Amino acid sequence: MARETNLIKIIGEDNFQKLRSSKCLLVGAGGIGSELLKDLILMEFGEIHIVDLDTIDLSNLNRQFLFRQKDIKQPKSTTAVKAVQHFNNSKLVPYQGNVMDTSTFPLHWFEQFDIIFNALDNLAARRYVNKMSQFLSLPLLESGTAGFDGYMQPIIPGQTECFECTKKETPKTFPVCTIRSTPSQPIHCIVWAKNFLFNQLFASDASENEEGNKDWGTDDAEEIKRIKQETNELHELQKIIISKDESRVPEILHKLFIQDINKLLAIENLWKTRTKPTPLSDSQISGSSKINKFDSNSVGTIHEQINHFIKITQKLMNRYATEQSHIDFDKDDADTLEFVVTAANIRSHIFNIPMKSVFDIKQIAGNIIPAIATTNAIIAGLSSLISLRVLNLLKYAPVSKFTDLNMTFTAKASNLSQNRYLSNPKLAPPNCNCPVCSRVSRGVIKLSPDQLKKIKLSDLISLIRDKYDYPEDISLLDASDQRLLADYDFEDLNGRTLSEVNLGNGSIILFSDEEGDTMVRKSIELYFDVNDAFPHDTCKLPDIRIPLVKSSETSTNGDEDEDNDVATTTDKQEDGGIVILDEDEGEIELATDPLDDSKKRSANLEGFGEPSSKRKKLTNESADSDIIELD
Amino acid sequence: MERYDRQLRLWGALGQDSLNRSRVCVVGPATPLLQEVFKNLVLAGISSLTWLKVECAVQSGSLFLAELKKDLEPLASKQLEYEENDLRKTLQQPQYDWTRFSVVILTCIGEQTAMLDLNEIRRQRGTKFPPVLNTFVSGFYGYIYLVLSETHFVLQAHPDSKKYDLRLQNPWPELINYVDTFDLSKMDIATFSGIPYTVLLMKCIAKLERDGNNGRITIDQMKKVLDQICLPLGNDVIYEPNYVEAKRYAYLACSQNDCCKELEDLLRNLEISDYGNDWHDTYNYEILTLLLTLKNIAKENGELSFQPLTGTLPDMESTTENYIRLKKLYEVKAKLDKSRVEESLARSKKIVSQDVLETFCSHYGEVRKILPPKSDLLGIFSTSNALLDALVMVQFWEQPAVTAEDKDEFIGLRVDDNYSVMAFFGGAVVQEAIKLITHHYVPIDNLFLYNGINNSSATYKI
Repeated sequence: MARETNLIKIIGEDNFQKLRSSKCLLVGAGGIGSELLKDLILMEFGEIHIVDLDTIDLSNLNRQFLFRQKDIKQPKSTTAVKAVQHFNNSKLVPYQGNVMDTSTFPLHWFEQFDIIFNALDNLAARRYVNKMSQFLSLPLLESGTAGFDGYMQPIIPGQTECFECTKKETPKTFPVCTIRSTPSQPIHCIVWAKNFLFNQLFASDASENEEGNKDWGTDDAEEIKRIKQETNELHELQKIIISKDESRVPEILHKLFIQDINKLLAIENLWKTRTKPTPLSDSQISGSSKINKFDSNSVGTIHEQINHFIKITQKLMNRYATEQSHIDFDKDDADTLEFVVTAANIRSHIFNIPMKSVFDIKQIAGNIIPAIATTNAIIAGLSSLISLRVLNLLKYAPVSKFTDLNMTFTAKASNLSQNRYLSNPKLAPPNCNCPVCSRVSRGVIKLSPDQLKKIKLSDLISLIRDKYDYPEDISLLDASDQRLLADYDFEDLNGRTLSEVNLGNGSIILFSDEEGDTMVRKSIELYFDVNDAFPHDTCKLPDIRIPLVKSSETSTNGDEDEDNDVATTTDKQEDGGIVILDEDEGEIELATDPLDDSKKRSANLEGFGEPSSKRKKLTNESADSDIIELD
Repeated sequence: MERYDRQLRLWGALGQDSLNRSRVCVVGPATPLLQEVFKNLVLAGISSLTWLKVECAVQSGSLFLAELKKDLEPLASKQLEYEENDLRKTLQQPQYDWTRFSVVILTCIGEQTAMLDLNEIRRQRGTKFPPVLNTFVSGFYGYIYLVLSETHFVLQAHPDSKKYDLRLQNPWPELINYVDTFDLSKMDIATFSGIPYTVLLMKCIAKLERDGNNGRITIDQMKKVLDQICLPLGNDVIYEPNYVEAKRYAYLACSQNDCCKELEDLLRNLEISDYGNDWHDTYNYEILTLLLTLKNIAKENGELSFQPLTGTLPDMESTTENYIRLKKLYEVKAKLDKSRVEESLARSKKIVSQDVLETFCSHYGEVRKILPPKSDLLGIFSTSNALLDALVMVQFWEQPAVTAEDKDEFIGLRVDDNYSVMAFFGGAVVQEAIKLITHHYVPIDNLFLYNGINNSSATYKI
């Protein structure tokens, strides 16, 4: 389709040619992504690469205008590219994949781009792309929306604040005992139903769980014993699911809602200041054949909840057999949602907690963030517009320093008191305490696959120590999951090879000076670039100089940054909600999401049997507090 | 409704229903702005659309929607009702039914006569004319100007911080009885820790009143009294979560009223003369009727004001039993207040839809009022704002698409349209249309100006 390009007139012929020859990466083809793709195409960017992991869902269609009813279940990235062909004049390259997958998207893949646009829906991927932008000094345009609120932040590595320079809302967690023994709010029962019960019955591999050093949220040995025993007994319940014998479903009810509750009641310490739960009665769980359809906005009676629980468990039982013995919870899978809703509500009823409607539980269990086309259009418009300035293509508005640019927040839709619709603070220089962009040096270590299998962890430590002049006392972490690999009193892994300690292509390690005198060597973060093409004896550390810094500088905490409330509020909106039970950590984490790959990675390491370092310490002040936050 | 799940969570089924039933008229030439506006309207669930076209010699900008209707259809969840007419012809039809539209959006109108004609039609219809959102974009700049013909009432403003309607300073008898069931002088710390903090605060207020404090209570006074009544139980009391909460929320006892003061003002200034039958928007009529009903109830009972209790209680540290008893009290009182409103409505023979009544009573503190501007559609012609002035010059009197001039006060004003700015405005103007149609969230009152060079914006009232 022929069309006249306005942009030549706006930015001039030479700059237009620059734009035509530039390559951008668009991470995410969802709400903001659809809008951005259209805007970038109409701005005539030369080449646009689009990465998205997801497939299209019905609930996307209220804003992701490139998708149609018929596209449901199709990959977003490729479908989006097909949908824009009739007005496209750029080279488009779609990928269906997780941007954090280092085998598809290694560091050098990112190197080809001139600018990155983030249109993501989760914290983990945002952090990851931010890190890539820092490794490669690529400008990044970060954005996000939640309902009427949205933000857009240009990040120019080394010049302006990075995504991690301000503190992000950390996931909320609950102590195990609140979820398993003493729920007091609907969310506790929903977490129990979704992350514990559902997973144990339909998504776990039925292997016995190893109990590490958990934060139980209680010191009561009797209670801990009970929780452990209960977990084992749940494996018995899973056998009922495997049996496919529908008549045995009431056994599940009996176990969960009578037997287990009675066991809890027997622990008298728990009920000194709490209202005691009331187990269901045998007559209640007999069920009846008459079943009305659930109204998603009302709550219904306990009797209805029980009937629906029986029916849906039977249905899932049959699905379990046909779906390779594994069903994942998905908020848009009506069966799994109904199971979680009914199980949570029955438990709530038992603990005298108000029951919730399907609509409400879906929001909590599914981490649903309201989303509308208009806010996405606003943010995508702002983000694409400022890219002209980040790339310095506007002659009449030249950028002399990047801190002259600004980020934008749409003011709360209803907050007009400040006489503003957008707030647009100027970009700040990097926060000198930022653990990502300021407190570490950064580089790429090149290795052949051979060397990965040959070099021992202790060898690597010596190499780094000698090359950059680090002292004897150091620490080494796997930065992707904060796993401790070595420090002064942990040398168990030193004899193993790099591949044996699960380091490989895409791994990022953090090497720090722990001597802690007045001056310390700055920490270094090294990205593993493992490539077949390298000569087989390749093990090359980057040639950089790592400065000595005052030790106070590295140890100061960046807590003051909380004042930057604009950033924190936005993230609260964005990431609040989903709940993940991380059995090995012994705490339940809110606000991670299905794309969070690092979670899975740490789960894979479960069988590794080594103590895992916990940099994140729990502030467990009282066993009764409902929420424990990671600091 | 699954398709609209993500937005239902913003404006509820009632708001979505209003969108589904609404008709929107978009006026202007075929520009990227116009297509962005249509796209966003249809995505939100609006399926009845009218385009009053302005023929435009210069095809300005790139279009991704080749044929508007055909391209919009797949974005809608139901059959589109779509009309296309010529603006000039339409303006000459005295019988043209403008009132059927929920909102009229003007995009990049360049002819002064069209603006004058439309303004005249609007003037003749009095209050029975839909809200007009006039928007114009040039280069990196643009404006949105909202012209209401009747008072717009917001049913739910969704303020940043939710204010709970607790009635700490003026509890009703049942609540007082409940507070009295806790005798702090005869209790151990374990029992104490199960008391909701609101009870502690009400005990403090009661003690201050007994001690002869009649004026406004300060936070310091509250904190001092809190310690006076709690510390005798033992010094460890300060570690109890409910004590901590009471301290943190002590300020709740200091504001004159739990509910917003602005609402009292709203009620006080509400004149019966505001009230006629000539309403364009039923919701505005219904919300005003409800506000006047509250006034009536207060008058009949010789009270200063009557505000229905919203009935929601925040989460707090407490034993489940205490919490549930307290929650019940608030729910029962809210129900009672609602029935008082219903009875009063019935007595005065007014009818308000049940949904609006429910939302009104349960979110009473979130009602807002926006008055029509003193000026009209022509208000943009007589301002002292330099940017608006410059924009209006480009809009009505200058040739578009002059290349950039360095000496310009506004860099990049007289350059060709740029898609990103158009996309931004397409989002922003439909955002405002949605607020107007759903009566959720407070719309811009009444002029919004945007500068895309430094990404800044401002709102003014003209």
